[in-house]
Amino acid sequence: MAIGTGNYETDVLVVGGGGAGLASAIAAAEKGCKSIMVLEKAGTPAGSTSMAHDIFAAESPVQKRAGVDAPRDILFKTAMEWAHWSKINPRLVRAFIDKSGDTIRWLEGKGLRFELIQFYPNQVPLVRHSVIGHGTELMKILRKSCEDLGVRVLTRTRGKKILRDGEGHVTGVVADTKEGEITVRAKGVVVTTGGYGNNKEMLKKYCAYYKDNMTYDGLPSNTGDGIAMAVDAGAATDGLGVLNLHGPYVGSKQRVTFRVDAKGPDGNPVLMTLLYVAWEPETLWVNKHGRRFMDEAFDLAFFAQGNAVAQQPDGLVYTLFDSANLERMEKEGLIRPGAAARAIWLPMEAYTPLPGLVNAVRAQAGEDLMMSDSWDEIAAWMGADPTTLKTTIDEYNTAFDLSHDGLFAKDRRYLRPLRKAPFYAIRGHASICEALGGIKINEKMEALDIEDKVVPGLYAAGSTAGCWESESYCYRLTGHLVGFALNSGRIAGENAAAYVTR
Amino acid sequence: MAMKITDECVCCGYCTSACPVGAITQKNEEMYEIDPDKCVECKGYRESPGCADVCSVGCIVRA
Repeated sequence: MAIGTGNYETDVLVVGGGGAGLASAIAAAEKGCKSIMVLEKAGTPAGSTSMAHDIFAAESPVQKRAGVDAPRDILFKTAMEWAHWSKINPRLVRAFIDKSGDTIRWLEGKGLRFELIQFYPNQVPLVRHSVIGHGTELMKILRKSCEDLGVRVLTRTRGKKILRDGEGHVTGVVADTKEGEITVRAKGVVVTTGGYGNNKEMLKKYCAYYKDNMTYDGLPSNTGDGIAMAVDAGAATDGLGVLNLHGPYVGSKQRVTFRVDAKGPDGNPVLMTLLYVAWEPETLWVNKHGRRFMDEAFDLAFFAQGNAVAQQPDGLVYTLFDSANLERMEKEGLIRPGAAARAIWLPMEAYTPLPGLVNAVRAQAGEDLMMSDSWDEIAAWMGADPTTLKTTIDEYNTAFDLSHDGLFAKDRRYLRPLRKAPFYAIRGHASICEALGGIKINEKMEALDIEDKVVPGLYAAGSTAGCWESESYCYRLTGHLVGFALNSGRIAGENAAAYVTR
Repeated sequence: MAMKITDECVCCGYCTSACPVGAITQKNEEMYEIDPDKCVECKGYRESPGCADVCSVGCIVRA
């Protein structure tokens, strides 16, 4: 990998070296294309895929070996029902799902290994192919594959303009490097620059649920560059404004960690953050007015709750619990600690005792955590009306006593009263996994203009491309963000190779 | 004795969550950095430096 200077010529040029980008570069090479280049804005071709864990697939060799029946037809219908047959392109979704099983075969052939696991309780069929070694290992293998196939990669190189000739054919890209501007002449261009989760202007313009207090989990380089470039070159956009949200989240991306006396899966002591306590399903969640807003145990999956969190006034939510519950967490462990699956510093198994948790949490009192013997004091800290807050808590305690949540029908197993002082409140908000919708494409990943005509030689894949996700993360197809990146990337690369060698 | 983040950093931030002493901060939109005066290479906390173990691109090395 090198930093670019001067000018270049290539057959297929990929702008953005994440999962979609490297998959398309490799697929183009495997189709016989001899000259391929990748431009990557950050220091390593890695992208959001490197931060991820799981790949969605249907009818994969892993599923077949495990005896898991995951028919493409059923999962296609699931995706379309999730989107109410609106806002997403059914041909595009079909192409992605149809390719997905083969992509697992493709990756196994390159040495990647998978574990088939649930994302939420009773998930059927199992579609989440959890990557052994996470996205880090996946991207390492794709980088190695690029190297073996002679794909040239320039890092710290930001694509900024797509060039077209008089007949409308794409002819290359102008990019910025630390040393200055370069031009790469190319016969075909695949745009795979990721989402726009770190572009506040685009978030404000397109995303109805966006709030200023949302944090972004992804890479700062995801600023929607490719979408702007493609639009400038005459492509249309599709489905902009989709937020994939997590929540409740606590604090900023730079998390404050604290140690407890428990061993993680790698044998090392566990580092925790307040986030993991705030996610516990046996807690009570309220908005800034002190009113409950959802079933805290719904699907036990953080993608299931982000949207409800985001829609609360000012995007603020509070996780409430009492000392008995915190003591229970210390003694028995967390119910869903594996929510952030990457985390080596977390106990991956549920119900791993966490000695020292009570004191460690107490020591966090301050900006995001309030501890008090008085709900009035907590209400004052939240800015809520104390009577409203106390009514909410009384109703919740009554639901526990009756073993029935008459409001949101929460599973009775997760009802737990708040009666033992001191009481705790953690301030949370929604966090953006990615902002989606982007370049309009067809099922061949060809970019389209506003009249739905193909922009000759221009392709888009991954989170840069629009209209395959509706309003929220379709977690029934767990891992479909990386799944779409890899599959749309491969399809784009194959078609770009065919186009440049036609 | 300290760890160092090299130019290959993509700014994912995983390292901050793995640091037991709060030695890692975001330098700019391209890099995180480790304060060598705070970093203890996780001695007394882990068998190996946590930041290097979680780094999504393998760009953290001994200084």
